Parts: sequence; C-alpha cells; structure tokens
Amino acid sequence: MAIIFLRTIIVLVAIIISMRIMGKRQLGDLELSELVVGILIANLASQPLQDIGIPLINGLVPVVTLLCFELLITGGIVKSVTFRRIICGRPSILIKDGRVIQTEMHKNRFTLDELSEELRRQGNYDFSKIKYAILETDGSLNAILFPAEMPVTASQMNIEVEDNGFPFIVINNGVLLPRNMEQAGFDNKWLKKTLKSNGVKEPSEVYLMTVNPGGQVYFCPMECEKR
Amino acid sequence: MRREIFAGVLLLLILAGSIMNSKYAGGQIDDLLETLDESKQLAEIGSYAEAEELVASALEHWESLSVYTHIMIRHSSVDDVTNCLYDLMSFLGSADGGALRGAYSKAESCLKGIMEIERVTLQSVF
Repeated sequence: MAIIFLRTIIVLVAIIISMRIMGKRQLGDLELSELVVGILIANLASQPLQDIGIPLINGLVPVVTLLCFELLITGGIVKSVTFRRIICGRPSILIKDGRVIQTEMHKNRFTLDELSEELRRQGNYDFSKIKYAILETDGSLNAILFPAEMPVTASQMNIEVEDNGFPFIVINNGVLLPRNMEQAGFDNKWLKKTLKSNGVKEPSEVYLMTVNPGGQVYFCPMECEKR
Repeated sequence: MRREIFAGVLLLLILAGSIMNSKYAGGQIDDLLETLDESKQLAEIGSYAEAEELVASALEHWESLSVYTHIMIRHSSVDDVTNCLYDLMSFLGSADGGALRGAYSKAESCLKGIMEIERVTLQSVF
C-alpha cells in the first residue's frame, strides 16, 4: 500500500508538471490533439498505480513522450496554418445570413436539436435573429446576431463612458498583494489612508479589496478570524 | 520556440536512453545465457557440481542487477527468471538428469523473453 501511495504522488506530480508545461490551452476548450493527449496521459499514468508489478517508468515514459509530442504539435499549429488545418480541421459555418446550411449540418453530423441547445445556452432562442453560427474546431458553437438584434453600445448612443481601467485585487483574504497594488498605480501610503478611511488598521482585517487605476475601491472587511 | 526545442531534445534523449537500455539489457542477458549454456554442457557430461556452480554464479549475477531489473522490467518477469534459476539449481543439486533439459530450456526461454520485450521488433511492437 505504501508503494501505491508513493507512486500516486510521483505520477500526480509528473502529470501536474506536464500539464503546466503544456500550458493553459490544455485546461480550456480542447482541440483534438489536446483531448487525445489528455485522455492518454490519464490512462497510461494510472497503469503502474493499479498494478505495483508494473515498473513506474512504464507510466512516466509515456507521459513525458506525450508531453513532448503535444508541445511539438501545438508549436506546429501555431506556426503553420496548413498543419493546423490538418490537425484541427476548419471551423464550419452552420448558419449563414440567417439560413441554416444543411450540407454543413450533415457533414458535421450535427442535429437541429444540438444546434438549438447550443444556441439556447448562449441566450439565443430565435433562429431568425442569428446571422452566423460557427462550429469551431474545438467543438464549441459561437453565434453572431444580426446587427439590428445586437445590444446597443454606449458609442452607438454617443454616450461618454468613464474608463477606470482594470480592477486589481490588492488584498486577498487578509494578505496584501503589493505587486498588484503597484500595477494599479498606488503605494503603501495610499493603502494606509484607504484602510483608515474604511475603519481598519491592517490588511489582515480585510477579506477583499480591489482598486482600479481610476481610484475606485471595492472593500469587504473580514467577518471573522482569517481562514 | 524554446518549448519545442526542449520537447525535441527530450524525445531524442528518451530514444537514446531506450536504445542504450536495450543494448545493456541485451548484453547482460547474453552473458547469463552464455553461462547457462556452459552449465548445460557440463551437466550433459555429468559434471553436475560444476554445472550447479555456474548456475549459482548466474543467479548471483541476476540478483546483482535487481535494482535495474525492478525499475525497468515487469516484476513478474523478473521473478520468473529468478524462480527458473533456483529450480535449475535444485535439479542439478539432486542430479535429476531427466528434468534438466526442460529446466535449462525454461530458464533460457525466460531470459530470451525479457530480451525480446526490450528489443524493437515487429513482434514486440504489435
């Protein structure tokens, strides 16, 4: 049992490191090669965990090999449009100018039920309002409405909107994040003043505090002792 | 680009490591097979004691590789070889000539089986 315990830790660390090296792509919507590699890694890495008679290296070598091939494939996908087309395919336009393209639906073996479901998931209930619906290479569906059906924007209404920038988390569960504070353009002097104005002395008394470059602060004090 | 180069280098290292491992395993098993062969010839002329000594030295050699074998080879295969060598020694010790040929063949077959697993052939790949 101790052997299985230790092997599990080793395999877990190896997979985390591999996934980390592969990057955020592997965590989000998956392309075909990424899905295959993810499934294979899970299955291959578990073999030595199930049978301690199998050498651990029989699980680690495939994981590392798959990692390397995945890095090479994604590198090729980024650098070459042709290679990307071979590995990932092309997006398919299922609705064009408001009309469902039946040949594309048949080609992708996509049913109207699935199309309706995906559109409803995005808040689109009426086919007549959709100008384009594109089935992406990772299997997700994106819908683009007719301009007349899109929500109005401030610029279309000629309304000036204040842009206060991106809010940075400065204090997270009682811990000060000085780098974020600097990126927002503030310093410790500002922090002390802000904490005082909100009735606290130390960052440890704050659950969440955000600030944007425009100076707008969101403040949430700690309700009980820091967890 | 750095990641791709790292991946390419790592793949080449794994390939080189596999080739070296295959050669090393092959070399060790060839030595053991040679020792068994010499032992078999001695057993055939009735020199069971000398034959048993040679098998004992082969067993010692095999056990000295236990760290390598347990890291690289399926444990059941390692145990099979160990058991075959012990069985062979017990047949030689009891001078049971009738069962010896079978015991030698079994030990050789176990060792060759391991060599086949490590060698890249159509059989081992498929």
